[in-house]
Amino acid sequence: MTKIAPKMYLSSGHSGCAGCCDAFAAKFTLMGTGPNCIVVNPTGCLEVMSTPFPLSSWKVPWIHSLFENGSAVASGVEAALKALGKKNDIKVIAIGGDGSTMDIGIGAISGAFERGHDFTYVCMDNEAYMNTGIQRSSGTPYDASTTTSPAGKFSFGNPRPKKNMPAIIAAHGSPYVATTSIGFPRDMIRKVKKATEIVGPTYIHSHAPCTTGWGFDTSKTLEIAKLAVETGLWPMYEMEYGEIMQVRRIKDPRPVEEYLRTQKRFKHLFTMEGGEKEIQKIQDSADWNIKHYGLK
Amino acid sequence: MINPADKEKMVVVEGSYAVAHSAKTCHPNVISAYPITPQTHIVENLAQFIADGKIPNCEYLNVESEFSAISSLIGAAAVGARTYSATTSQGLLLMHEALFNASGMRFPIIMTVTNRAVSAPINIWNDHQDAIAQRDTGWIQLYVEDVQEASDTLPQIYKIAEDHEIMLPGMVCMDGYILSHVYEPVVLLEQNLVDNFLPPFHPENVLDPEDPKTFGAFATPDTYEEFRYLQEQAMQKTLPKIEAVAKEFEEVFGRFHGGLVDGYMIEDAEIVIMGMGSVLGTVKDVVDQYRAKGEKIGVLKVRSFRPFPKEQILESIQNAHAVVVLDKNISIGTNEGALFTETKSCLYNSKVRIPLVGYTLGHGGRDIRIESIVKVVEGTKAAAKTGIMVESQFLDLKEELL
Amino acid sequence: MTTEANQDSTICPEILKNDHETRESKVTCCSVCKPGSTLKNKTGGWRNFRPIYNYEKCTKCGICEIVCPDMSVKPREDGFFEYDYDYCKGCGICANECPEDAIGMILEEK
Ligand SMILES: Cc1ncc(C[n+]2csc(CCOP(=O)(O)OP(=O)(O)O)c2C)c(N)n1
Ligand code: SF4
Ligand code: SF4
Ligand SMILES: [Mg+2]
Repeated sequence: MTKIAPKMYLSSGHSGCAGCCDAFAAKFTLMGTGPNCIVVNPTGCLEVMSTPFPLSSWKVPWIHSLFENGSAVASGVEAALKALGKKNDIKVIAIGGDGSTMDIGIGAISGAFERGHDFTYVCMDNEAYMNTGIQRSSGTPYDASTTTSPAGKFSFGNPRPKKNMPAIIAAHGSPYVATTSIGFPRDMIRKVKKATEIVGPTYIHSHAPCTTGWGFDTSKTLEIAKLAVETGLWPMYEMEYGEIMQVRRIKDPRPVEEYLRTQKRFKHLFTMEGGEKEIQKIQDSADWNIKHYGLK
Repeated sequence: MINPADKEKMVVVEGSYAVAHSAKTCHPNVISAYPITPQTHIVENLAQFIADGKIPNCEYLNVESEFSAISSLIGAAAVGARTYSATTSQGLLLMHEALFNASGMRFPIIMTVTNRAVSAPINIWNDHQDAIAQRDTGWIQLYVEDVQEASDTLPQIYKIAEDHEIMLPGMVCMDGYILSHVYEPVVLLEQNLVDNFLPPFHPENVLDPEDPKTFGAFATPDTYEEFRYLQEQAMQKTLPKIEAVAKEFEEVFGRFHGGLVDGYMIEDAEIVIMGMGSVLGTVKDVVDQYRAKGEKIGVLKVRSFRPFPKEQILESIQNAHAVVVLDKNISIGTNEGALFTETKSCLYNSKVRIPLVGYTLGHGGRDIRIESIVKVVEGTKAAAKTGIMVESQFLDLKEELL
Repeated sequence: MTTEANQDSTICPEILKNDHETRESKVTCCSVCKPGSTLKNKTGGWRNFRPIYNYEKCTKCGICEIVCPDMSVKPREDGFFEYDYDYCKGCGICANECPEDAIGMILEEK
């Protein structure tokens, strides 16, 4: 990693768990945007841990309104800046969790992208509703055990694969949609910066392993994030107007089992009868990614 | 009462046009709305103004839902924009969560609500159920009687809401169809007068990278109660402000529609009819008939439902022999409308001891006829003499349908 | 310390001064908070393990600074880094990510 002069616009003293993924997502996003931005942050772990009244970890202007309206609030911020002649180069950023982005806020984000507001939406995808205690979201991967999709005698955990949110956003004709991961800070910072420099609605979907929700040691947040990419389970690519322009190649994909083993949420796959078959299905999905996105 | 000076200025337009024109003269910076009958003509007119370049420095957002309409205005207001929306019924209900939020964040967002019944059964005609359901959200609610008032109240409510001591959102409630779609002679607000009357919006706190504040932090039990208290304090400060601004408006425009309340033939009235909105037109006609016969009947128009003007109501009705409250809404499970319940509650700890009866009426646009109001007056006269027989009831129920 | 590292204190100096006032701040319109003010929350108390540099191994690559989720790695004038134990939660990510194995984690004595 080359030296990035790290201006920190998120300050210490937030109450995220030790090793918190959302803190990384926020930190890297702000390293990409610089100080001249306004951040909209819907309800979720990041919002709660960073703004216990009267304190705030944010050194940029920041607003939280509700859980499902991040994109709509950002639309209004952008429109107001324009109307008041203040837009110039103030960047409008929304940063929300997988729940607020892909589930409850999907109507609002679809509307904002369709209207073409000049803003960047960053989804920090920790693959469940962490703030309310690790419930399943549409970003929860296949077979992950969460508190509302628990593994049990008759269940391998979450029965559905992850929703392909970047593709949904790309279908809105966004000039720039990219996937990234907190495991690759330089990649994430570069993509956020690029996204904010492009006029129009741009989208960054960042994979973000959660120590508490996924069940791994606090020191492994970034290591596991990298493993997800190296197995092919989390492809990193850039799309312009719906076309894939760049992918991050993985020379020797690691078996998904290596990734699954690191996390309690997949533990049952290694103890339950039929687990092997399930692991194979997950391997198949990684293989599909590798082929589909041309990762090799 | 039409001001003679206004007569020449009057044009016949649809209520929605007058309101859209009024909103235009208030110079909103962001308008965000989602179509719903009978609000549509307001936002269509505004869209046309924008298309014709008639609202400078304004962005118009065609959002994908009412929820996003109000949410986008929350974002816009946080940047320091003057904001406007219009909605009704299902749209207003869809906003519910964000209405609390807008008020809690202390953003003076202004909306026109073209009051309409709520589903189920789905019904597009007027009653007040939609706005009454928002009474605890921390929004100022002013109910208007006619188109002129609907249009005149907009600059007033901006001025009230944007006061630094107040900073609360507000809705002007006008009866759907009855006012939104009626063609009436009105004075369209003159831009230069509005400019004199309504100062530009300069909030103390805005989102700005030069001075990066955090908005909408979460509050623990340590501080949450104080936030609620301050909101209530702001509402209390709104009471005198509504009166003052109505007078300032009169000075500039020569029209007065009442402050918190407005009496009609009320000074010596033995029977007082209370209500909100356009129904008061019919009620006043009935009162005129009674007065012609020498009977002392009067009207108390409640213009401000939030804040609720307890003192002014008490003062206005204290000498009556009986009072009847008309509600175009019902709190199901109490068999009462909201204005009735709240009027009763403000009497309890006072010295005023008069019979109070309530009617819930006009649901889903049911026509309110002169004869029905006469029935109400006769019932109330009986209550004044012999005491209350039925405290609150539906008016004009069709027994044959039950 | 470099100016960058001082940023926390330059943005909001009054916040660092009066520590005990944390809960006494006035409740205001729109629950507005001052930027960077969580510096009042000394999260260092959460730590079970303490990261320690071995400056002999450190190549000044700066990865630790980037990978700290609590902004507790501060650059020094000499190009090395040091910990701000007031905030470090001891997650161990810096040690885990350090390519030179220059960071050790030792049990915090409480
Ligand atoms: C309308 C509404 N429904 C539910 C909630 C409860 N809630 C708050 S945060 C949250 C989950 C957040 O999940 P996500 O967006 O993935 O963010 P994370 O906490 O995982 O970072 C939920 C369900 C809410 N605040 N508002
Ligand atoms: S639960 Fe996960 S996202 Fe939430 S604060 Fe903890 S590590 Fe961060
Ligand atoms: S142990 Fe964790 S919190 Fe402490 S300095 Fe290292 S990365 Fe930061
Ligand atoms: Mg999540």
